[in-house]
Parts: sequence; C-alpha cells; structure tokens
Amino acid sequence: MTNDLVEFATDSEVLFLIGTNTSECHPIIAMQMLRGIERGAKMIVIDPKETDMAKKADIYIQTPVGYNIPLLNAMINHIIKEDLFDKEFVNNYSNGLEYVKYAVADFTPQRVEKETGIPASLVIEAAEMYAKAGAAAICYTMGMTQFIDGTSNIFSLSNLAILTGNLGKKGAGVNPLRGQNNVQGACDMGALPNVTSAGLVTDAGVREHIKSIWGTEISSKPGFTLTQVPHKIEEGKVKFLYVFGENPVMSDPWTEHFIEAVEKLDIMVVQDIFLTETAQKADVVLPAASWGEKDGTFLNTSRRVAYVSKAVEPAAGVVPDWKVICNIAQRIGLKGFDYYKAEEIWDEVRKINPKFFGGLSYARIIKENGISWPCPDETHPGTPVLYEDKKSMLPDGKFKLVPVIYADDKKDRASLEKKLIDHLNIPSDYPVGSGALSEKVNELYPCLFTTGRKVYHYHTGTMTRECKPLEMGADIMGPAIEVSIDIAEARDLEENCYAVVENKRGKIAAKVKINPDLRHGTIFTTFHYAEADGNELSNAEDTDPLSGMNPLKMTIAAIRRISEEEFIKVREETDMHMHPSEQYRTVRR
Amino acid sequence: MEKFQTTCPYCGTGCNIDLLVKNNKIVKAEPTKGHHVNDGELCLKGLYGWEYVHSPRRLTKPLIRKKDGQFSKEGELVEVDFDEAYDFVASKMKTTVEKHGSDSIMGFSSARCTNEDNYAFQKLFRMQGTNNIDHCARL
Ligand code: SF4
Repeated sequence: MTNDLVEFATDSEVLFLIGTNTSECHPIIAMQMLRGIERGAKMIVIDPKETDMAKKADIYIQTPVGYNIPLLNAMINHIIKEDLFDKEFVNNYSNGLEYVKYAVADFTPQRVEKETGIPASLVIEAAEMYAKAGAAAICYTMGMTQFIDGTSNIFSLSNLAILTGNLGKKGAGVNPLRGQNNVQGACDMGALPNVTSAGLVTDAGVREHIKSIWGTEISSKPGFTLTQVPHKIEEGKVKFLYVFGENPVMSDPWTEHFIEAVEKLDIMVVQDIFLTETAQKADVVLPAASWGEKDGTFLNTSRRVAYVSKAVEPAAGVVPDWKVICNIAQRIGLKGFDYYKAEEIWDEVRKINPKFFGGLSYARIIKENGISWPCPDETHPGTPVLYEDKKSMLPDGKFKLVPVIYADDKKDRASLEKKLIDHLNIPSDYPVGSGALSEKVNELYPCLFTTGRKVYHYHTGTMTRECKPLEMGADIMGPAIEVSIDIAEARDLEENCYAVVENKRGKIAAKVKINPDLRHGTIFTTFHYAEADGNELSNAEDTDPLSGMNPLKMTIAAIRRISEEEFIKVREETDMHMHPSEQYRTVRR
Repeated sequence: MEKFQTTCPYCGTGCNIDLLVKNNKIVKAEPTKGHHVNDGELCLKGLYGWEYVHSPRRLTKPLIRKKDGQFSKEGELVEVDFDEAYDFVASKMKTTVEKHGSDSIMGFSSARCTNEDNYAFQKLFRMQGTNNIDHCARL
C-alpha cells in the first residue's frame, strides 16, 4: 500500500473499492473505512457481488466478473474529456498522458452501458466523485489481480491515481489490501524468483552488494514462478520441491493437475505445523514451531514492520522455521546460517536493505508498536505515506501513465499492443497493457465461476479449521455453493439442496445457497474447504503475460442439482481433508 | 497469567493482539488497547483464531516416506527423529544440485511465516546458485 490504512478513517474523502470484499476479508480495515464514512467520506464500490460494503456505498457498480479495464478506461476517458485531471501533477511528475488519452479514446461510459447494462450516468458519477475529491484512496485485492490481465488492471488503477494527483498525500494512494499476514514481508525478504531483499537479481550492483554480505555470488537468472512449477516438473526440470508454510494442493489452481505433477518429483519436502493436504503428498514432512511459539516480525499491508512475540514453548525438538532451514543449510555445508536468534537474521536484513530497514531495530519496532518502511536510520520516523516528494521509484523519478487497451479475443492482445506501440512510437522500455477475458461462457459451461473468502475462515483453512469457535461455531454451515437467483430458478435449485459444479478441470459438490447479492449468471465458492475447494475448477492454463498469475478469480462452469447419494459419491471421490471431524471428511487422495 | 503483545497471524491488516498465557497455554486473546492499527478492536479470527496452536493434530515429529525401513516413493509416512530428517533433506538437496544443476531445486516460501523465516529460506536457495523461489502472494 502507498498509504497507511488508518488514513481511511482520518483523511480519505473518497474510498474507491474495486475487487475487494473488505468487510469479509479485512474486517478491521473495513472498520477504519466505516469510521471514515461517519466522518463524511464517500464510498464507491465496484464488484460482481453486492458486498456489505457495496450496500453501504454511495455508488455501487455491479460488474461482470473480469470486466474491469473497459470500465476503468471509460472513467479515465471521462476524466480527461471533462478536464477533471490534475494538470499540475500530471505535467510535472508524470509521463505518458498522450498514450493514455489515445488508448482510452474508444472507451466511453455509453459503451460500458451497451456492453453490460451498467448505466453510463453511474460510470460518469463515479468518475467525477473520484476525480473531484481532495484525497481519494483506491483499494483492491485479488479481485483485481487474479486475472490474465491483472497487471493491466493495476496499470489502470494507477493511471487513475496519477491523473488525479492522488499519490503522495494522506488519505489517497493505490492500496492493495494484502490477504495474508506477511505477503508484504515475503516479497520484501526476496521470496520471489526475480527479486532479492536488495533488488532485482538482474542488477549487477544488487548481486555485488549481496555478495559483500553473504560471501557468495548469486545467480543473475530469474527463477521459475510458482505457477510455472507443475509444467517444469513435467518437463523434468524441477526435481526437488521444498514447500514451507503453504498448502498449494488446495491454494493452487486445478488441483488434479497439481497433484499429478508433484507425484513426478524425486523429492517433495513439506515443512508445516499440520499434516496439510499438501504434506500428505510429501516424501519428507518437517514440523516447525507455529505463530505464538516463536518471535520475529511481520510486515502488514501498510508496510509496517511489527513484532511477533513468542508466548508459549513448542513441543520438544520443534523449532522455528528459520532454525529448521539453518539446520539443513549447515548440513549441506553452506556458510552464514549460524544465527542463534531471529533478531540476528533481522539485523542482516537491515544490512542487505538499509534504505528500507536500516533504522528498524527490534527494540525500536517493539517500543513504537511498529513502523512503516522506508526507515533508513534510527532517527527516521518511518514512511506511512509513500511518494510525498512526488517522485516515483523509477530512475527518472517520474510516474508512468500506462496505456491499456482491450481485446475481445485474448489471442489478439499481443498484436493490438504492437499496433498501439507502432502507432504512437512508444519506446521499447515503456510499459503497455492490455486486457481480455481468459474464458467466455458457452453452451456447455454457461456460468461464470469465482472464488473468495468468508469472514470466519482463512485461506485453505489449515489454521482456522482447527479452532472450534470458528469451525464449529461461526461456520456451522461449512462449504456452500452460492448461486445467483437466475441460475437457481433456471435449474430448480433450492436453498440447501445438493448441487455439483463442474468444468473440464474438476468438480465439487456442496449444499446450495441462493445469494441475491451475486450478479446474474455467477457462481461463487470459497477455497477454505478441502472437501469442496473452488480451486479444483480454477484455470491453471492461462496466465497474465506480465506477472505469471493464473486467473483464479474467474472460470466457467456448469451446475446441476444432485441427490444426496450422488453428493456422497462425489465427496468420496474428491475428498482429501485434513480436518476429519465429521463423516465424509477423511483423507482419500 | 502472563501477557504477550503480538501481531495477528491472519490477514494483512496486522492487528495487534494481547495473548494471555497460563501454564504454557494460550487461554485468551484480547485486542491491544489504543494500538495504531486496530485501536482496541479485533475480528473473529483475531479473537478466536489462536486455538490451532494447541491442536492435538499439530505435527511434533518429522516424517519420511518409507517402505521396509527404506525411503521409497511407494511407502507410507513414518515418524523419524529430527537428525535423520535433517540429514536426509540436506543430502537429497545437495545431490540433486550436483546431479541436475542448481535450477532443479525449487522452494515455495510462506506469506504466513515471519520475515526472518522467509529471509533464511530464500538465502538457502540463492546460496546454492538458483533463484527458484516464490511464494503464494499470487494465490
Ligand atoms: S484481527 Fe482480523 S482484521 Fe485484524 S489482522 Fe487479524 S484477521 Fe485481519
């Protein structure tokens, strides 16, 4: 996030929420937003589901799943046409206005109305509300990024913020709400195939700096992305997979395909606190201390480094993850793994990236209850708002307005981009984006299928399903397939009847919940439950050409009502559950 | 009862929680009062989401897939001691790199674990000459 989440309560004049179900997934951020609304802030919500936040919004736009770029381009078009953009900011601090102007020319609010039925006047109203605010914050989550045009979706959002000067001030910004406690930290620590904790692996200066601390040269070749791994295993390139604190069997798209791939590995090591659905497939399982049993730091969505305290002792022999890793590294014979406490690792991180973390000692993090990076020295107060000097992190210090176009057929994206580049003479190192749908509904699979979370569970449920008040109390209903009213009516589905949802990748069976908040033609389920994991059906073949992300938030599917006998049969075929607290919840595959 | 101020292990909001501990067991979670991020509030997961720490299903011993006492892909997961498991993983990792090159090993790091865990993990892979490391931020 460019900004601090507390500013939603104190400073934002407009909150622009797109592809985020904030009250379910980030309840306390939603609380801060609602405090802002009490103060008088306005709220725009754009989502295929009429979420609780949508019901509280001043403007709600119900989009078809995946229809973001045409809508955002239409808003940008209107803002430019009506001269509502911040000329001072755009002229002094950005590049690319002409490119964007050209790219959005075909996108009008009227076109959106024609294509989706969303009234053009609503699109205009939202664009004007956002553009005219003194400080407007854009917030989004995976409902923007998990598509084949996720990166271009984010280009469009940052275009909006740059055009209206909504960067570098309190209450504004472009704010991805991170879904997991330490996504920000995992990225900043270099758990990425192309980025280390000091910068890009392709940067010779970065490699030199790391060598000066590690004593070893690192590779300049970017590694494989997580989404490439099943293919790389099948090609025989990856032989040894080490998974720690993740449950990819459930969280990765197209479950069946992932399981088949990992079975071809020479060795899969899983390090976790439970025998997860992934650990059951492993060749070696290493236990480790959990949260509450070890100290360290997390980085929240506002880039705030916060202390995590050890409160209880783990079982005998069980040590924190970093110590397990060091035990293995030392046995391999690697140098530089003789840390005896977590703080020593953190102090090395501060040396690796002094610009961000230099001033953040454990003592200070604890005393000040967390501090946002960059914080280069002990006297620096931290940086809750990025870009206050109106300088981007790019070499020329300018913000880039990126032209984003849209293809009716995903196959045409590259050629359309090329046409745009040639037409405008865009330099080869300047980014260009494009959007398209990964799959379109057809006769066989006539429904759009999307996934998300519920407030009382988290991700693949490994932790929350082991908490009785959550699993047995709040969530007594268990997994459900939520359908829009029209789907229910057309297929004679009733509340609590059994149904199976399927496509070419897999199927899941669960009870039906008719959800009037869903846009017509939409099916929704979660990925919390191994016995009915939405990711069984997710698209693993298409990727975002820029990020490698799979379109987990959209695929196509068919749904039909089934009898209880058939329901039990499907469950028996597909279940691989680690939480066998009731019938049909046993380990099978 | 002892009190430990910590950060919630669930979503990216980063609420602060006071854990109350008795006889080496967490017995209650309370929102940290007056904290910048959550200002005395927590959601259901923050309030009740700590019970898994003491779940009887927690792993306490390493497991290796074995058949007739030997490592085998066809075997069952059996309990082994820590030294055996660490030695086994280290030697397999080393021989895989020697036989198939640095890029034949791959690590999935964790967006739920600490910065320190993540840093150590990527260092383990990069020190062996590969950048094959990713985590499920994408998922
Ligand atoms: S208490 Fe709830 S909102 Fe706060 S960090 Fe935990 S899961 Fe997120």
